[in-house]
Amino acid sequence: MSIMLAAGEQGVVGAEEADLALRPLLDHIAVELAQEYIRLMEAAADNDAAASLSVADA
Amino acid sequence: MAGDESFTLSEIARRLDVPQHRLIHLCEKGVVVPDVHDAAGRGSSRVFSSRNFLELAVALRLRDMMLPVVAVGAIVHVLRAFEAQLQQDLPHFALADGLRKDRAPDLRVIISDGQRIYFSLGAAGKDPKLFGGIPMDQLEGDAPAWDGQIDVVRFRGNARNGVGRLGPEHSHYGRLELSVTAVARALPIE
Repeated sequence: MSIMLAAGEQGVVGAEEADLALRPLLDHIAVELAQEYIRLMEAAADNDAAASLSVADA
Repeated sequence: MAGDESFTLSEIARRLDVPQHRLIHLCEKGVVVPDVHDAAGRGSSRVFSSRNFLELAVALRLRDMMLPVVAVGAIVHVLRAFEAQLQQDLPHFALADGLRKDRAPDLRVIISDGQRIYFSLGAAGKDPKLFGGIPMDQLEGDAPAWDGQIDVVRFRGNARNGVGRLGPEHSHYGRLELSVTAVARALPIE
């Protein structure tokens, strides 16, 4: 494993330097992921609230 | 797990059962930047946050899958920016903690045909939504700037008869998938 990793690392530039050109894309994806995460958590909370109400009604 | 917990490099190496040099390599390549304290010369030591702990665990898994360091760095960058974005709405949100909750969505990284990086996010048992893909051949330093276009891909089933394409991102030939949520839940923190 260490031999393969050493070979694969030759000539590799640092990750912080490498993604500079695509950083706006990476940040855009992060924003969309965050919006979707919040939407999913809110949906889960709504489902929990609806389930609690139906239990209370029963 | 407290979001403000901190860890030394040797502690993380011991807990993840990996040699310290693998973690040092990820730091020196800029994949993971210690949140608490970076090494600043002989005798100084790196101190990591719980999110750094998750970043290192994810990065190690991706390196085990032979993903190039530059691609791993891009993925970790998205995870870091994802947490920062969420903290604007949820000031106390911590990625490692958030993904370890019972009802947390499943966040995954998908490498499609060895060429593009996607992220998927979805509730357990539901179709995930895809985000990406990041062209891996443009992750090198001289890549042109992003043109503002992004793939919009929705889950359309997973063909398994050898005729259709693979996964929600419709890979042609092959795919790698890593659940960041699963890595977070398996973190040896408590």
